Amino acid sequence: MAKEYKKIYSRPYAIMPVMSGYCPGCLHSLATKIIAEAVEELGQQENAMHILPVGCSALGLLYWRGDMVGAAHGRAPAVATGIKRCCPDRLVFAYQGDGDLAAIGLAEIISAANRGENFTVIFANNSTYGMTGGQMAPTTLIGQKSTTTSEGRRVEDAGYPIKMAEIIAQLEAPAYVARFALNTPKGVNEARKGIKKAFRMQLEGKGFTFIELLTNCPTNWGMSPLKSLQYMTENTMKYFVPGVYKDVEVGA
Amino acid sequence: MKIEINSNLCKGCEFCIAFCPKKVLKMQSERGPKGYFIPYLTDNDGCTSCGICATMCPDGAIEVFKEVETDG
Repeated sequence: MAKEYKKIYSRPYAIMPVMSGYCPGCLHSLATKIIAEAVEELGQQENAMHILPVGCSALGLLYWRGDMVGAAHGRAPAVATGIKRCCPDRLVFAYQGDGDLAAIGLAEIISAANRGENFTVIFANNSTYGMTGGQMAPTTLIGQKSTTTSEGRRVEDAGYPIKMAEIIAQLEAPAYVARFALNTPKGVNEARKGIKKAFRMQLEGKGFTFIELLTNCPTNWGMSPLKSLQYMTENTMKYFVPGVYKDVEVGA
Repeated sequence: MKIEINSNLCKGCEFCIAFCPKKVLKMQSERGPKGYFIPYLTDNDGCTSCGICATMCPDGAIEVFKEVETDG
């Protein structure tokens, strides 16, 4: 009996075989990879429309293979609304960071979710403004150091971190709202399933779907990639609890 | 080999080494073409082709192969 090797996994077609612009150990690139896998598993490679925001999450434009539109800072849900209304058959999704979605684009995301627009927003929450140099974001944890809160975020000055998934789940219109953490293989697999489910619900016309992905920022948190994953388990996931917050298919 | 690591894509974040259930990955002592340290498979028979390294690889640098028996 002869033995040979059969390939069982390689990187998805939707991301080009070039080095991404992300830092080593950045979970943005892992998020981009699992989105590409979800698109590929659904066979929507030619049909997908990627809406890019401003910030580190826009670095996907360097290696995403497919249609993309760049939106102004925070306005990705507004651009996605226009594209989805013009091309209702396309798989439209916006991939936004926390500075983009939870700060400057708060009005757009709440309005789009409240209207129940039939597209998906994937929200990468890394608790910092990554591209501009690690300033405090609305999702920075209490006590977490950043370049604008050198002693750690204080409630008296800056209030509490915004829990976007819970806020969106309060609205009547959204069909699926969930939060996943990407720091363990289990979390990554759950996130891939969740993204796939959101895309499938969008293609079935169920309405607005929102996925929050907890990610890291080793560069601006000032940690090694592995230490940042541990920090997520010990701190980020205690405040931003992963789970499915709304799902019209099970009536939760 | 049961896994192949593309040294042009790998950034040496060590996620594959940390999450490998069989602990058969190790860092090379020399830098790769992009200036990062690249991991390598130390024990091909110890690897079970579970693919957790490829799941956790942010840069999609890992390809996983499974050993299959053929009649030839």
